[in-house]
Amino acid sequence: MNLRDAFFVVFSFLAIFGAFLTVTRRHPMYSALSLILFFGAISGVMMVLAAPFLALMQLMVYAGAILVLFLFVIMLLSLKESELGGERPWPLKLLAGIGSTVLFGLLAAAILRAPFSPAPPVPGTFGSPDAVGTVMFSEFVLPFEVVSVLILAATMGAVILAKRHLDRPAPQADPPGGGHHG
Amino acid sequence: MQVVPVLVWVERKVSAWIQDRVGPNRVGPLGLFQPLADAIKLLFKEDVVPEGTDRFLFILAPAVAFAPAALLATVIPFGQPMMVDGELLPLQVCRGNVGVLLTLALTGFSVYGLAFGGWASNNKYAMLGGLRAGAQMLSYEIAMGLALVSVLMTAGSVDLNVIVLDQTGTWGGFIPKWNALRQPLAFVLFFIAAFAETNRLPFDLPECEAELVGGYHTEYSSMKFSLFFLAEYAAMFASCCLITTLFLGGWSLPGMDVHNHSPFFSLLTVAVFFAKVSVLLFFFIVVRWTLPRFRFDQLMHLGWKTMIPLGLANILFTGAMAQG
Repeated sequence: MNLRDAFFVVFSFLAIFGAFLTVTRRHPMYSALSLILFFGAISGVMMVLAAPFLALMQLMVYAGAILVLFLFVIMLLSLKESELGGERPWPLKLLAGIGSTVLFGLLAAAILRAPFSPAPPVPGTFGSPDAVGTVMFSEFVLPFEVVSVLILAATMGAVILAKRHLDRPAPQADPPGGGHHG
Repeated sequence: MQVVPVLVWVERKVSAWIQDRVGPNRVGPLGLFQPLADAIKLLFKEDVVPEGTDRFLFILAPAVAFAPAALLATVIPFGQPMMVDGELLPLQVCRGNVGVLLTLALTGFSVYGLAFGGWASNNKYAMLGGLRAGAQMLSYEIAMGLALVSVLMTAGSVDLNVIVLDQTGTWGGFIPKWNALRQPLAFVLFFIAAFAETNRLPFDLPECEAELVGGYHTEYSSMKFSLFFLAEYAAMFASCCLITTLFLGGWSLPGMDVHNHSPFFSLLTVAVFFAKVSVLLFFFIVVRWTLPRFRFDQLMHLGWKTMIPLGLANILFTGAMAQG
């Protein structure tokens, strides 16, 4: 096992560990923290697999921005211990267990059956920002633009949904908390 | 990290100068050992973990706050590569062609320390501080990223070394082709965003002692408080290094020979780099002691309604210039 493989194994286990903690922690704050660990580890896996651009985007977008928003919501809700909900009833647990086992089995079967051949050697610049940018803006320029329009539409939708209640005259002079902070 | 005590001393001296006081002058010559005395005092203070806190996160938070700033310094090229025993020794800890992206990712991480610290403290002031930190960093990171994009468009690379080399030329032999002059708007935007990202006045809303007691670090004491404190100064230093690299030509001076790799010359470039960084740090400190703090809605207005549109316009303009 060379150094690269060793890193791959370490990051993979960290990712699995983080993902496991994310779903098992009772408090959402700890789930969020575990999710950061997971994102970081996944980014490490990508780095080992010669995709530095993807790895950093993962860090920037998911770990750096989206999770901050998650934290925001968790902090604003600031759930008390009693509001977290008690133990789930056992039939639900059983169902969830069966469901995830079946899903795991299906995925494992698919992976084991897949005809893996050794990956062809890639040029040294593979996955670098230069290479990704060049491909994205030449071969895949149409899908790229379509996705950007889609994101724009989603953004506008979010703004409209958020602003809708602002049009109505506010019954109180000063809504508590101030509406325009998030 | 070794810069921090000196920085604290300079900060106190400059603040004294601005407020027409003497500043620390008892411990050592010119009070130079004052930060050392402070550090020892902080180390020996009682370390309080208040009741009702989330212990794990409470202890983790200061470390999380400090780590990104320290890591950020590793991607900065401090000087011209040095020729040692026939091999080029780059003066940069962590090399790679994704330098700028890594810096963005790391600045995004620094908020977690503040947010976790604020939440774990189980204190409404700390919590509000943490929330503010989150909102502020998220908003200004966008402006920072947009300012960065136009710089990347000018340099045509995300490698910090290439960006430095790209700025070594001159106009008419003496005006340096620094990005601060080629991209003045991006420079100003990035600079303001850097203030916001490091939580320095006038953007220190997360701590804001007038409204929030101490903000996210209200409940912290002893060495954990010091770590938050260290984090702020380390982040300031790292930001200044980054601004120097991106906008002020890094370690280069106009007319310097970029192919000279002798050790002496390399050290000279390191000195140039730190001279530039010192000027920026001085500016950071002067601003802190001269400007009043924003109100939170003003902060958000500036971020979302002024800086982000300006950043977008600047990218459009840069793109048009590159085509035309």
